[in-house]
Amino acid sequence: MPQSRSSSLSSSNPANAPQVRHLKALGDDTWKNKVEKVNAEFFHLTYGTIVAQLCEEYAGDYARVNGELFQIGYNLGVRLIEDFLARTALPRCDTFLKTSEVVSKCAFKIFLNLTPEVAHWNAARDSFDLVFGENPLAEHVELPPGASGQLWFSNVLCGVLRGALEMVQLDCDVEFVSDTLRGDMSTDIRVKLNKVLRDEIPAGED
Amino acid sequence: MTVYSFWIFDRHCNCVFDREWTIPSEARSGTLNSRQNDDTAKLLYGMLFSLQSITNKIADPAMGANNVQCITMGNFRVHAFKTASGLWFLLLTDFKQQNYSQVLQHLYSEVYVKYVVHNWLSPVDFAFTSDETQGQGFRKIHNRRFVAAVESVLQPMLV
Amino acid sequence: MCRFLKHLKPLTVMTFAVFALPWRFTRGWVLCELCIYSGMAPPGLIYTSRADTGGIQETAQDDTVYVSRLYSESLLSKRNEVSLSAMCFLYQGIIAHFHKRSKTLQEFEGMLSEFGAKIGLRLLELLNFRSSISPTSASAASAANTARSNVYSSNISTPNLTKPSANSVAVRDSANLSDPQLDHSSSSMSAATPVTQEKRTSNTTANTASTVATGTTTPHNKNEYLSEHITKMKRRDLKILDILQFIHSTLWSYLFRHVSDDLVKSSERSNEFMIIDNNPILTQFINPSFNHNGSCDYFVCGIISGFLNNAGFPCDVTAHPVPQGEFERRTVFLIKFNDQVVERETLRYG
Repeated sequence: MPQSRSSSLSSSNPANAPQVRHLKALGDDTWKNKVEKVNAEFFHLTYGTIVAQLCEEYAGDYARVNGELFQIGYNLGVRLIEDFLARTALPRCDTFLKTSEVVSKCAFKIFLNLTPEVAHWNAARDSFDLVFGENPLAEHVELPPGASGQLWFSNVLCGVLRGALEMVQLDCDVEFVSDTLRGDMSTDIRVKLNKVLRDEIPAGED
Repeated sequence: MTVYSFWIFDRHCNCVFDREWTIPSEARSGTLNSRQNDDTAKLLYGMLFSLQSITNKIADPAMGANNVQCITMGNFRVHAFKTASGLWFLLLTDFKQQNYSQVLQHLYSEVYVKYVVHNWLSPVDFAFTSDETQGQGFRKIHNRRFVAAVESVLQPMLV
Repeated sequence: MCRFLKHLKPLTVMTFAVFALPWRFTRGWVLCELCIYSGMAPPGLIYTSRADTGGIQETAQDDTVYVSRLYSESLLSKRNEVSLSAMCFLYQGIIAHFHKRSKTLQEFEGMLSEFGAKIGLRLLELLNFRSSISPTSASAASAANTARSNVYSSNISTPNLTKPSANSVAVRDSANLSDPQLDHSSSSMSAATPVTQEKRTSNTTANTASTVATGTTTPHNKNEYLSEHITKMKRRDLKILDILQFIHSTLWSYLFRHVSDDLVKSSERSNEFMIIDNNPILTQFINPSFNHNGSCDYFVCGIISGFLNNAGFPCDVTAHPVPQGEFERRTVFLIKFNDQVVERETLRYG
């Protein structure tokens, strides 16, 4: 089972377990006490309507719809990261493993009240999957015929993750690999680290 | 508890906001966003950057993030707050108060995030081209509500 | 299940007819409900879905057609929440998207309004369903909540008209007057938000059952269908005041977790009404210089107009910022009904 493999990876290092608990507690506590909330259904309805509108606008060119959703998400992500850092005051993560825990236990919890599982680490430990049971933004949604093989409904999440991670100097590729709306067993987002970006240095200082 | 000036540097080594109070306890005195790449801004950032590099080299990475927090000179202190996204918030003050990190965090979360990040008319990346990175940029935060909020937070501390 | 149909007023049936599946596939409320509710499904179509998602199978002539599992999901309110930041960020992203595509302010407002109308029309059906839940089916724990909900049911007490002031006549019903200062904080739902405090079924398999994409599609417990809790559909609102009260209380609480701050009838024109929000939450972070005409509030205008237009009250809704006292971003949503609506009202109700 993928989940047990990943959990054994993270629990094999005992130093990680209290860190993970701390992150989970931070996420839960921030969600409970410091976050103003709105009706999730309204949020999902709004999101569903924008996706429907984009599909209509691009008349079946679902690749473009995916791209547009990703771009909206990217613009959102570069701003969302500041909000996240202001709420949690977390420093930069020193390992990609920690990044995965922060994203799944704090970030998704604080904004969407979800806690995806982290799974399917690859051998080089630079790629992981965020596993959601159901598509997180798709409540009462069904893909129209023809879109099933091409449209990633919640592609905005990939854009958000990419934008946010780029602002903390992590250049990542983020994409969907499976989606329950398409009939798959779970909804998976794969995050792959390409490289750690170096901080800029003032011209003339190097 | 006198605040002399407040600076914000972004991840492209540019000074995106500066506010200096020249006459103590006179809230309307001083300059706003007047430091366009001149020596003071560059020196401040350079000093911070160098100290941060030294810290990173000396300190043990297993101990976690080590950001410069306070630099003490003969006549004043520099309090710094760095976010994970590469923003530096600086306050130049006198010696009366030891720790301004709460103030700086408040300025980040309640003022910067509210008036710059949540405001889609205002850019978050002030370097529009690659020529404006690495300290060569010149754009500033001119958002009136942001400036007003900064003044209202720091004004009680000017005395 | 079809016994519910005879309780419907003709207009509602027509609305369903537009959106409902062809009769031979109709399987009660659930199918009709969800066809309307789903943001993605164009009305009146049956989608083929993969066999392993466990759709209900219907054979029609020589084709095997699958009705997707969407139609057996429960519409009971799950009362899930997301953060306000996420909603505001998404909203601003949408505004930026429309801003790019429009050349004039009017076009922008129109696009935003049309966008909101799509949501409004869905909320009309959904909220009417949810407010039809009969009190007797509520469990003891939520009996108090549903008792409050009766206050805002369609059998509302007649509005208490106060003495006309210089510009407008305030329309409030007695229940509203007795409401203490409404708590706008998100940490507590005010007493006037009963409809969204749905009866929580004691077992929560509603969520899990509908999310299992493997075998069965129907939840194990019949109580998890919204329709199981409805013995009599709420009567369609025919009077202007009734439907505006519904918007003021139920719709506003659904969207913003508090009732709107005021519902006012203009004394100058008989077809104008105003809904006032002292602090619109969606636009709180938007720079006032960008929003000086209330342009970004046209999304909510769209929701209201979509709601009213599809309920049989054709109207135009516009947003006007009217700061007052401590409320700098107070916004007035002006609803201008078409003349035929006012005429109809006078003819029928005098």
